Amino acid sequence: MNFGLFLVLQYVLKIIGLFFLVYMIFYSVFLLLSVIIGTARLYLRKRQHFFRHLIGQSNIVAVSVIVPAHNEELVIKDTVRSLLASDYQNFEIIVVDDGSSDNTVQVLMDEFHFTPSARQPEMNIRTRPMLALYECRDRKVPIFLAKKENGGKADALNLGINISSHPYFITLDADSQLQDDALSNIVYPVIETANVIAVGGVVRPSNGVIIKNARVAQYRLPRSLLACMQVLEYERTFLSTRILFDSFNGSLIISGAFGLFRKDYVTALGGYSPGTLGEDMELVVKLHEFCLSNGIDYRICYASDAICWTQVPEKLRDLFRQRKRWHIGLFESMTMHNGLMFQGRYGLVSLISYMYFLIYELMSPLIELLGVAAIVLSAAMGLMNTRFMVMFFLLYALYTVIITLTAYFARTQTVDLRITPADFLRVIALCALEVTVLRFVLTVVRFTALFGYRSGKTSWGSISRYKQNVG
Amino acid sequence: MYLTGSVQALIVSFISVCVSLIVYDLACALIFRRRSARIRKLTSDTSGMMAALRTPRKLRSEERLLALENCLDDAAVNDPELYQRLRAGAGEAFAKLLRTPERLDEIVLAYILYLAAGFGFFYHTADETVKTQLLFSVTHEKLYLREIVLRCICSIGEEDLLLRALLRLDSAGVSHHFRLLQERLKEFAGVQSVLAAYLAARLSSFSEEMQAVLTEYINAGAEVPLAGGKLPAETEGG
Repeated sequence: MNFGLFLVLQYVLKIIGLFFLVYMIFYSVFLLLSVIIGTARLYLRKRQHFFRHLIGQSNIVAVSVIVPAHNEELVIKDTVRSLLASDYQNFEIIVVDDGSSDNTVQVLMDEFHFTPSARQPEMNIRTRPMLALYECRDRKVPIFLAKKENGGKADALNLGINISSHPYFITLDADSQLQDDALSNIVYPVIETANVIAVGGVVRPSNGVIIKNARVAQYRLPRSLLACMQVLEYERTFLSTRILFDSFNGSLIISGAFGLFRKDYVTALGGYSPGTLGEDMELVVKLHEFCLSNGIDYRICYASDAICWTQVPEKLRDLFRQRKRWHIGLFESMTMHNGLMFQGRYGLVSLISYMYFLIYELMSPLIELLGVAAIVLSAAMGLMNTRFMVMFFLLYALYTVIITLTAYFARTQTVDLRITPADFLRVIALCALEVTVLRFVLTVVRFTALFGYRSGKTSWGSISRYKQNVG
Repeated sequence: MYLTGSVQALIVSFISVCVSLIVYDLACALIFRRRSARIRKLTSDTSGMMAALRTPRKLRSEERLLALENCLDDAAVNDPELYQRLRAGAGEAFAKLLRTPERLDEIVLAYILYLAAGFGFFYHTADETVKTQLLFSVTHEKLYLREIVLRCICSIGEEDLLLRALLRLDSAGVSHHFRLLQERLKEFAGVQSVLAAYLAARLSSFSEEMQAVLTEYINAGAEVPLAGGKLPAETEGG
């Protein structure tokens, strides 16, 4: 009996081990392809940058920049100021205060001269009641401030959409700073191609970066090791999933921190879904599903030169909370739109993008932990070639480190950011730590994300805020 | 225990890819660093630049074209005679290059047309080959290239050429934002009123949308505005 059980266990462990090996090899190939394609496109975009800027698109398309805010008294003023320093001319700013309990509203009232607004929002999307609407017309562009009952980020965004008067809107997190050319760059795809309905920008960690008049005055890696590792993780992720998927109209995520959308499409779909934690991804997946199932010629793309700087968590507790929220959001988006799963008629969006996010993002914590457990058990039972596994994992770690460094240096070179020699060495050292330790820790965190999950729960993701280095 | 052949192959593959990526990173870093130094060197070598203009294939390089732009800018301020020689030489060289556009990288083509537009190399002197190439490129899928081509066409200052370009753009169904078109029309190097009259006389050749765009342009400078044409709605949404 025991021998029989042992045999069964042996086979099960072998199958799991083999599956895990194939899983990692596929992921390695995907990373390699995405980095090669991604860096090539970044370098090409860099060469085109001069000409794209000649176009002078700062007045062509009118956009509404919606900034949902909840308890952002420390950073909201700088966010609005960074928008006012933009080289873009044709836009309005709409700050939606979602029932803040701090002085978010007062900070804005003190900074800008607001008066009650006569604008009547078109309530095309149902939201919690708006309590007041103010406007300020003595700055470069009109600024609106809406106060509403607390209803979550999605609800705040929907109110912003109702208030907006332009055909496109941009979402911007309240703790984010846009570079001066970010609005021009994110609008560019819309001017270039008529069927673009959404554009994603690039989000980069701002911890340690000094920004003056919406330009990077000094680029340094964050002092916090945790934030530093996230810088590397962001570069790898943006290069791998965003640029590659953009090449076949397969972007399933536009970061909620910075993205542009065509208002009529979003309104027709009922706006952002309240009751989800990943409202940003859910909207994009919803747009794909809607357009594909209705045979609409559309494009959702990614502007790799539209840069938004945002704070990343510097405390482990904040980081864990954030990643759990993201994982739940991912789960909700994938399950709400499972009609996209492996449907040949939907093309590569279904066959590659959706399946990638399903296997390598949503299910990856389970697969990776199971794989590691199987390997450890196999080693303990003397069932595996330990030397091979150790060598493989070391090689895999080295491989991922080099991929991450390629992504990071390609990005810094193509946006002319200078790294100090000390930061250069720090990047290499921390990359190894991020790939081995942090990644595994976050895998465990994401694995636990769905424990005790209840649908319909919404909350603003709160992390400790710090005053940014802004001038 | 020994490693099987396939396992060894896997390990060798990983190592090869790692080494290739490191080489790729170092190459990119070196190329970027050397680029600025090379452009400075090329800019300061005026006789070398004149020699390059006599051998147009040497201009099929972004760095050389950037250096040419720097030379022209310097000469325009400091040495008018050199400026005229460079300008004449560049015009001839660019005309030769545009005869074989398939050999030109997209960015190099953009630079050539950008310089031609900016310095007026083809002002009333563009031959049929250049005009044909411009008309072909005006419907390029990339917006920035279409814009550069239109600038170049406007810099030539010939109403008929611009009309043909607009007709091609219109009939190809390429989406080119009307505001951008209007900005380019304002850059026409000939007489604006003559262009306006020329277009007004041939408005019926265009689609309704294009007629509206051109009517607004014509009316902006006219004493008696033309009737008709509703521009595409741009501020209504949702």
